[in-house]
Amino acid sequence: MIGPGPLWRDRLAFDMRIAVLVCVVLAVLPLVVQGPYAQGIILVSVYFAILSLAWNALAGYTGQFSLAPAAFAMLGGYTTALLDFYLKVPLFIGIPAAIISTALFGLVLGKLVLRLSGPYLSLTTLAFAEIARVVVGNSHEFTRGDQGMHVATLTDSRLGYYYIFLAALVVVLVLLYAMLRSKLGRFMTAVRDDPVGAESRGINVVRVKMIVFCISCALCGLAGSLYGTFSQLVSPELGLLQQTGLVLSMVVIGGMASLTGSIVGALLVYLGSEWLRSFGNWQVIVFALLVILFARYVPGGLWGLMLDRLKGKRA
Amino acid sequence: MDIRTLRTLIAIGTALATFPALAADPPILIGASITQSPPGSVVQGTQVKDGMEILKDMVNAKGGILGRQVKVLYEDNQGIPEKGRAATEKLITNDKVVALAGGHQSSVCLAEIEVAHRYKVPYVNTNCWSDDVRKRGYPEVFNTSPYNTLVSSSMATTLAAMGVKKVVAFAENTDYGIGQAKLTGELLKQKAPNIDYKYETLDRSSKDFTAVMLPLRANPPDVIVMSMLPPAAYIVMNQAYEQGVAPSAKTLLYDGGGLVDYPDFWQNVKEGGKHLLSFALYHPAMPQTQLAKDIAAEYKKRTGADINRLVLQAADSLHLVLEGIKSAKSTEPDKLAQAMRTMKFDSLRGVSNFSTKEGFGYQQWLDIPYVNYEVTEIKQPVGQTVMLQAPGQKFDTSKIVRPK
Repeated sequence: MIGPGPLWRDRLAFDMRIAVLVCVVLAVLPLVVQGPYAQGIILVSVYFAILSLAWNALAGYTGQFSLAPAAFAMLGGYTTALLDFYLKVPLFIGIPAAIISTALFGLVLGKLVLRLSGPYLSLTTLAFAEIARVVVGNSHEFTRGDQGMHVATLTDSRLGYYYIFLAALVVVLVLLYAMLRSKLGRFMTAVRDDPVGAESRGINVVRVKMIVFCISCALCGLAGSLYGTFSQLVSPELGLLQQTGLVLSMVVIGGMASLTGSIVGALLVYLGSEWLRSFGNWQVIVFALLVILFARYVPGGLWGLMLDRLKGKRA
Repeated sequence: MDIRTLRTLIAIGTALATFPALAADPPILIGASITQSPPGSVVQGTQVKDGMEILKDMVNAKGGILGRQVKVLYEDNQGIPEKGRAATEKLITNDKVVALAGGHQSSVCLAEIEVAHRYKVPYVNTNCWSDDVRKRGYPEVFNTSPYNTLVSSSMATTLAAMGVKKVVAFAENTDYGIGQAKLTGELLKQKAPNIDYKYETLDRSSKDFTAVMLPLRANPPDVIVMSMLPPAAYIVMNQAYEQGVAPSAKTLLYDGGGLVDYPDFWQNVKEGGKHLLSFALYHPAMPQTQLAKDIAAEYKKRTGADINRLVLQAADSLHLVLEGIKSAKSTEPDKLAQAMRTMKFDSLRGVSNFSTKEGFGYQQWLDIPYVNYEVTEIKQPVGQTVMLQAPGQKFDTSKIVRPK
């Protein structure tokens, strides 16, 4: 295997190769990990991996810190659920509709907030996330409030769902890789590293942020929609800030600006959260401490740690 | 005694000592997905666990069921549907429980019954009031819990009997709150169409309800109905009292959530709790089986507190499963479900038969006993409250004590 090269393109390619390797491991995992519960846990980890990738595209590669990934997942889930519940729209239309609706939500919100920078973007998306959750929870007549909505399922097979989620993860991975390899990807990192410089070189910074924000929202919508059909229920709890906190810790622990880091972080944190379930809210404290420690001492996350080790060996 | 004889004796002794352990049957495993940490109601989760643990210990002390000990495996769902779904799946597929009991929050129950239905494992709903849990019509789901239609119907009948003209309901923004307030309004239209009824939806996470109190000071209703749970319910009650809205000589406060049952009720509500009318599912004067009395005594011994309806409901859920196992003489989920469906179940609160009619009554114990009482003193034990409606009796409006 070729190690990480000095160029951004080589590093990205190396990152992608490892991410694909992780996906291959995930694909053969059901041969070893059997039983619907264990497979279900890994499946939910894959849901979080998609959310983490979507958030990482925005935060890690573009430097825009949204606090609404879980809220967009909830909106995606509700789009599919509402279409199914009221109009009996089949899921093969309901799921793409979730992607489109969340992209449109992202577009509208982006128009309002993406001219802001620094903490303002985070605060605005945080407010949006809470408002969205409260509105969904309070619209009892329309969304059935906090008891949630029943959603049809794609298949009754646990293994079938496992591979549907894995396929979605691979599609998201390939899409992000293609995006990062393209001109847009270079613009994204330019916006992240030096927005003023990027603007002065003719890059439409707001437009780049807007495109990435919409794509990120759409991917969250896809994840939420698929998740709703898997659990056959969407509820306002899907958009809890605590869920966004999990996504953030997954990316920080796995590695910002890394495809592999997002996936590995999601797997480790969710599996850990399930393992720590009997400790109640202590798990929140454990992950919060881990995030602080990683942010302070290992800012590149596990991915950065691995790259450092590889570099050390090469030297 | 030579060394050979000694060795033989040791071998025989060891074999005899290990034989009972080898021969003993493994315990019967029952699953319980409950809230043990926020954001869900930890108070409810604790009471459910207390009730189930007491009954389990009593049953085990008497030799268990079918000669096997009973073990309840608890999983924390934090009151989050996804956690409840995962916990239920773990209990069924990993831990191989034969049935589940203890569900106590409607949104979580709705997620969990999907899993129980998929694996065809009996699920006893302990305290999920939403009618929708029954409306799914899943044959694995048994409901010993109170249900919204029961509570709303009783409250509407009471309000009609009181002959009031204007009623305002405070409903928390949950399925429980809004569902109960809406249903009460619909039933009032049938039972007493002349009553002017409306409900206000209040955010359960809010801390200030002055805005909804002020209009009521100018134009007080005859009754304020509370479809709210702690802690928001406590804040509403305190602010209603401080603003002079209710309870007052003009306006009574009527609770539909069993607030007095909560162990922290009097810590949070003082004067505002005096003269509260309460729909309640437990009162010491209600008929109880000897087992229920024993559980109440044990609960008092363990916690120092008087028993309440949720502890009994939880014990009753486990009791149903265990009686089902006894009746089926098997722990096979399908045989157990069939037995639970058809057997005569002597519940802790009276004989219960599960209805088979579709809708809110599906596999529901319809005739859950209830009472209405009035709290007339601060920190008044439930047994000393003024009984306004004994089980199966009519509401006696003449017994209502109004504040001066």
